[in-house]
Amino acid sequence: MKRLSQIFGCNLLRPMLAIGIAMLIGTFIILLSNQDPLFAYSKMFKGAFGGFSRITESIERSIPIVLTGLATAVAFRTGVFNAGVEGSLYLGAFAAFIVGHYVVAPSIIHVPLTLAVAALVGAAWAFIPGYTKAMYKVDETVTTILLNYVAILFTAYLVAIPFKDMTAGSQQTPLILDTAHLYRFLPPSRVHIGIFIAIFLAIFLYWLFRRTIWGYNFNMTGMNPHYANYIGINVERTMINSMLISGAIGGIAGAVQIMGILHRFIDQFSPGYGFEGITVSLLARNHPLGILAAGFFYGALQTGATYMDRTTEVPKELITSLVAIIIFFVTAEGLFTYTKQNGAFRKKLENIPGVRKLLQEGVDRNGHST
Amino acid sequence: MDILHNLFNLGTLVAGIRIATPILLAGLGGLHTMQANILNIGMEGMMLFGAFSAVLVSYYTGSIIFATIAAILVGVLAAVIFGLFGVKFKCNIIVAGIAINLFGVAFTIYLLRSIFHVRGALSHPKIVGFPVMDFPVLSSLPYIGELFKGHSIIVYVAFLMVFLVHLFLYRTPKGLHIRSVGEHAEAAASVGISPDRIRFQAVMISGFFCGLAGAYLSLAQTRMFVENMVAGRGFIALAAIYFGGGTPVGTMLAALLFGFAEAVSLRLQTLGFPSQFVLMTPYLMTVFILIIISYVKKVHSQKRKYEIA
Repeated sequence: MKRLSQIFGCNLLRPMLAIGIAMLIGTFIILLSNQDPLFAYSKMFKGAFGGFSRITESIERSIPIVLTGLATAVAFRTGVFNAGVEGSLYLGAFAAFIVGHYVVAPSIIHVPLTLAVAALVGAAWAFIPGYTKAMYKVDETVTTILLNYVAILFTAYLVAIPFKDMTAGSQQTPLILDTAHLYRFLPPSRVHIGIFIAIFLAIFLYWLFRRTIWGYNFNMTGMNPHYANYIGINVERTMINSMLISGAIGGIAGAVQIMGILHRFIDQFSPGYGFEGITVSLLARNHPLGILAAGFFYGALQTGATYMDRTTEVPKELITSLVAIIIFFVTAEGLFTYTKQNGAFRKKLENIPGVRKLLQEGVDRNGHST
Repeated sequence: MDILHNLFNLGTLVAGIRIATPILLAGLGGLHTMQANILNIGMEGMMLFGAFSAVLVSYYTGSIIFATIAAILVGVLAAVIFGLFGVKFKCNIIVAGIAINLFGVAFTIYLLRSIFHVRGALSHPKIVGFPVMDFPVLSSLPYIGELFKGHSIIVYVAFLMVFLVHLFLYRTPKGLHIRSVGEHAEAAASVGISPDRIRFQAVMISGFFCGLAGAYLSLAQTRMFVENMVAGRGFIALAAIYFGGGTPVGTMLAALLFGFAEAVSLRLQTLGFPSQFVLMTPYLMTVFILIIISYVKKVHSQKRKYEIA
């Protein structure tokens, strides 16, 4: 346990407690709907992990979430609340379609080129809120949320009129060329090499945050911009850089979904990957390797929920509701300091075997809080 | 010219007013939180809860009054959850907003499917909508009388609320407290105002208005509940607040402008034009305004620095 929490750099107690609380609340909700919670949860578990095809589906679902989670985390680390990964994702995805469809090149050039262009487009889009935040202190949360709609509507226009596949009934583009596909290495599943891009980026960011000056600047700016400025970090530049990286990864997330799964741009193709990325990043406390785990957890939850929906009477939206509850409890700083001051509650917690160790670990790790 | 006439006529204006109403209602709520310096992006979720409970109660009781009360109460309840975590337990307020939105979308769909066993949308003859009326006196005016005719009763309520909110914010002690907490929380605390308490109250007021806005969506604009029927209006309301400078009258004007833009885009769509560009104007305009405001502020503060030096 100790090692795990060291690798992920955050203490695991709070997420686990939050998941426990959410599942408890979920149990009550299912009981109130006259269903069997144990049956529903077991079906969900089976749907997420029961056999090769289920596990591969969970992995497939988690690839874009891990990427958007990483994109979000870069900005969060720098104290920039980038809610606009969704916008970068859409524009990056569309750029991937353009390059994937019109450029003719061997696969070895075509794939990286497509990814690179998508990353550039995503970064360019994130530059707008990043620059205005750094230079003029425009609230980046508001601008990114609003610009999301602009990006989504813009691609909706592109796919509805200039680039529409005339043979299709729905709003979608023609297929991209085979050379731009991401190789699916676990047939018959659709798991594609995008997963290695996600893992590579997670490790890269881990290294960046830990070992480089850029990462140091990111962390310092995120913790205290005034202090960062005082010790000579160019705070504005750092914020813009982190938004550029964030947007670039967001663009890659969109491109990976197009090149690996859909093979064309479809209007409204994202079920909210950008926002799922925020969730995952919060669950993992912006830790790149934690996001790998949390992203897979989230993807598994979603595939499990879909399976539960098909096989039981419990709608899959229950799980998304529980995710919202998990977010509340994971991020509630005040709730847990409150319970810590409340000695009786803490004693009770410590009496549960195993929890004491986790509590102590949390104190060791963070120095002050659990 | 024909096209222009088709786009800009009284009919579009009337449609614009109807589209603007839920944005205005939510905006009136959200400007309380904005004045208290809380970035409330949870309005979307609060509206959804309001919309669903309005339909639920209308279906079972057949009473529009009970339905409205339920929508408001549930809207406030959602706001209390948002405030509890966002203000009291010190979640990041943006994160709390994201969570309440997620919860609103998912849980109303869950309830829709478990209670009514339908997917997508619920419409039923048992669902009672808001009554339609003409505004006295104004509706009998020549030509512009059309603007005050045949709206659901809530439309008039919403526009009357603008003045009430204005009075509340600028003419009552509570309104002053809200604004002072937003301006400078420590200063407010030093004269005995509890900032967290005021923030919580502002959040609850926003829940009240969002509940009402939700009821409008499900019982006046339509007479059904559709999955995720708020569809970004909470964020347009946020845009309207910022666009209107955080004042009730400004928010109203912004809501009307956005409503009108959407009405035009709907017309454009029927004429075969791409509507997306018109639909994005509210967002783009607000982003521009925000940038310009901040830019001017920065230039001003720099000037002041020079003057002092």
